[in-house]
Amino acid sequence: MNRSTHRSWFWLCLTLLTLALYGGLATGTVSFSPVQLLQLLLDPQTDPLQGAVLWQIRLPRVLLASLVGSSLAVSGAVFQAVLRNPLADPYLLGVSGGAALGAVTAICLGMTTALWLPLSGFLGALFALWLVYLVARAHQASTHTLILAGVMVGSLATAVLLFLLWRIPADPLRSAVFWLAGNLSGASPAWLPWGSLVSLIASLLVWSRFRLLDVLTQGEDVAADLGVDVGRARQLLFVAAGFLVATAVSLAGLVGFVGLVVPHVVRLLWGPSHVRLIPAAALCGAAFLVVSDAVARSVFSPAEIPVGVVTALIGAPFFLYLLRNRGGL
Amino acid sequence: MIAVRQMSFAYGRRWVLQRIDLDVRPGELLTIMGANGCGKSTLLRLLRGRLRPQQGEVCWSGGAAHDLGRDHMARLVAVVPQQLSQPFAFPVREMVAMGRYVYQKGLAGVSHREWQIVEESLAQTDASHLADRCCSELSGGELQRVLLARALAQQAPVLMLDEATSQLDLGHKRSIAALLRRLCQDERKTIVQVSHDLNSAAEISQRILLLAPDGARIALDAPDRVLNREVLREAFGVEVDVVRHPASGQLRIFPQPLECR
Repeated sequence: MNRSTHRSWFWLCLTLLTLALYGGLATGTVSFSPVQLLQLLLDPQTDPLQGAVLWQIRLPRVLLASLVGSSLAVSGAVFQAVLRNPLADPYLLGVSGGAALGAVTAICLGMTTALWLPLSGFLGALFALWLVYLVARAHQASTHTLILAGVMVGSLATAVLLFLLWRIPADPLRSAVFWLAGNLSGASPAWLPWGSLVSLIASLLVWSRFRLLDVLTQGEDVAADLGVDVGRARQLLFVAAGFLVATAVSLAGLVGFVGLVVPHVVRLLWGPSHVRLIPAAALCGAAFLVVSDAVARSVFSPAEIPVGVVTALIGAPFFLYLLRNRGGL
Repeated sequence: MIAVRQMSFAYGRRWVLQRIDLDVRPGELLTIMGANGCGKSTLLRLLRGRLRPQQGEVCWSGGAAHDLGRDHMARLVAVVPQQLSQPFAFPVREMVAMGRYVYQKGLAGVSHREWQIVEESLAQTDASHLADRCCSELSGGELQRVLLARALAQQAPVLMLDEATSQLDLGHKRSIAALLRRLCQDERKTIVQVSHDLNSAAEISQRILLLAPDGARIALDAPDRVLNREVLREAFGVEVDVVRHPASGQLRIFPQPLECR
């Protein structure tokens, strides 16, 4: 890898994100021209109605999309390195099931406000991770045990979830299913600063351990011989990535494919070294979800399709293309 | 260098190694041999503190091996593993730089001096031409030399190899054997290797540790004293002829021919 690619990846990612943010802000039920957008951003009073649309609806939503996208992409990159499995996905370790169960429990208890739902989802996700970790710790958190424990905790959560869905009346059921499918319209903007704070701290923590992540891709045995305390390292990364997924899931439900595909694409473009992979995944993940959300909002406007449908529609064919062209991973 | 005293080790209830006594001397090339499952790799792990013996002790100058901490141990021992699949396509240079992990703390990039060590290690294993390639596209022999370069980049006084050349062809085996001997003689590295290649071990080792199938020590001595009919029968249950090559004087071990039916 030569020097110029060392620098150019960052500017490329940043340009990509800027374009995506512009697209996300400009498109929707009401669309803005670039000049209009700039005017409204600088001074909302030029057109109070459209200013309100931009500042109170569009902007929080685009920021939420970039927050969720970058959290999912970074946590995906971490899980793939720690589990030594390029097919690992942020939801593999039962986090999704836990978050869903937490949120649906809250719905059952009547706490359906946009303020309660994310918090209960967050707690559910962390609880599931904690359970997985307790089981895996008994075996020094070997990758196979982690994956199996994650799948089991996920199944358990799904079973309880299905039971709850069967029990609750039709009205809360709709809101639960809508939340599960993954969408960016549910969360209260009040959570945005808190989510950003958690995500920023966890992402920076992960990035600062870029060498550790590189070494862990060599397997626990080799990493230990290179001087890593593997148990402690896994614990740290696991907690950081867990907080990232929990944040994303609690704010936007189960948005698929971002955490799986984005780290992959970044690796293909700029190599597997985590000093680049983590920030590039964060920027590209944000851009990907902002664009997907803009598409989800505008195709059947004014109705919107769940953003998870769009990410899967873009992500799955792309992934199949990768599988075919690289002859497996 | 490493002192092993009356050490026994068990996985669960199954004893793998029994009352092993061993002194690894500085600057020697010691080969651990024995039948499959007799505990060779386990012994290598015990030597570097990855496992804790149930009885006896493994001592380095700083203390018991398993108490030294991974960070400290990585400065004393570098390990060449058996080949693993490479799920991520790291460039060779970055792969070798991983050997410098314990020396790089904080957020700084790899320094100029560190890159220099990486290049030197690649040159030592005759792998400089691979530096810009990707690890996932190397052949077995090339990858093994890269892994050896990574271990050298660690700049530890002790080098451990666990059947590191078993999958290589004759040419690569010979070049790695030559490199190991050179590291011992010129750089005063202490090398402990596990190997199944009797002939090569006889040629390059100062001493051979032969383990019995039940994990007891059969012999620990110079190759020409260890490799004889009786001892090899005890270790492998096979009848062999031990011959000296008429020209070079090298020891050669021939298993007796299979019976015709």
